[in-house]
Amino acid sequence: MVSTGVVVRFPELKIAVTEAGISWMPFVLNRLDKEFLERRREVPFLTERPSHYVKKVYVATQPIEEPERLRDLVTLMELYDGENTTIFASDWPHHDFDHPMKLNQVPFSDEQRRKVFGQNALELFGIDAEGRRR
Amino acid sequence: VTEAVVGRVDDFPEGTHRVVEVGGRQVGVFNIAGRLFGLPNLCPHQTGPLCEGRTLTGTLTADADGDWRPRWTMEGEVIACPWHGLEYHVPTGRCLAFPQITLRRFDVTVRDGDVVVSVGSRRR
Repeated sequence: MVSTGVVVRFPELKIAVTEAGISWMPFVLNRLDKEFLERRREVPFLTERPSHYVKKVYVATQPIEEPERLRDLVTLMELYDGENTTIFASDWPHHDFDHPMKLNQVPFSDEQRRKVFGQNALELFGIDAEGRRR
Repeated sequence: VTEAVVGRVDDFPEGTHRVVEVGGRQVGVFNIAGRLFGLPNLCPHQTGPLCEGRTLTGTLTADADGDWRPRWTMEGEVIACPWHGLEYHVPTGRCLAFPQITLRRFDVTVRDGDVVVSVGSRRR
């Protein structure tokens, strides 16, 4: 969607990626920025580097990676500025769902935790704190 | 101010460019439609010899004004670094991929048929 210009032509469009975990995000945006240097002509509609657009994409956590140091997940999220775009997801009722307890063990700051476990989803779906559609 | 005569105006025909040395700096001198421009021969990306790109080209542009159809623009005004292909708009020094990056531009003037490049101070 970045390389075909969707993100530029429809800047208000909300995009969310589910069932892919989060660890690919820093890789993809860095790789795209690097390629953009040499191949800008192939995406002449982009007015910002690709990471600018990829960082606006919401990502759902399931299946969350389980690194030996859970702190690495916080670092990964920070690498794509994901505090406002990362959303807890369980994939329930699949047998390989993520239990909320797992993600809750990640040493997020209080604010990051509040956003990942709810606030970001409210924002994505346009729902206010009372559960009403905005 | 360090300046130097780098040749006669006839040595820089329209649509061509070459690298000259002034005050210890390599400067690419470009003749675009009769106007002379000077840019550092040094790409800020990874220090490639930016002005040694063989030909001036144009580039592709696509925006809402053109219904998002790619069109060829800036013909004869764009140089691409031979190392990684970063494109620069010569008259403004602007990097096309990153508009916040603008190259320093050196004054190039013609005095009595001589082409004079001014680079400010001598490079230390």
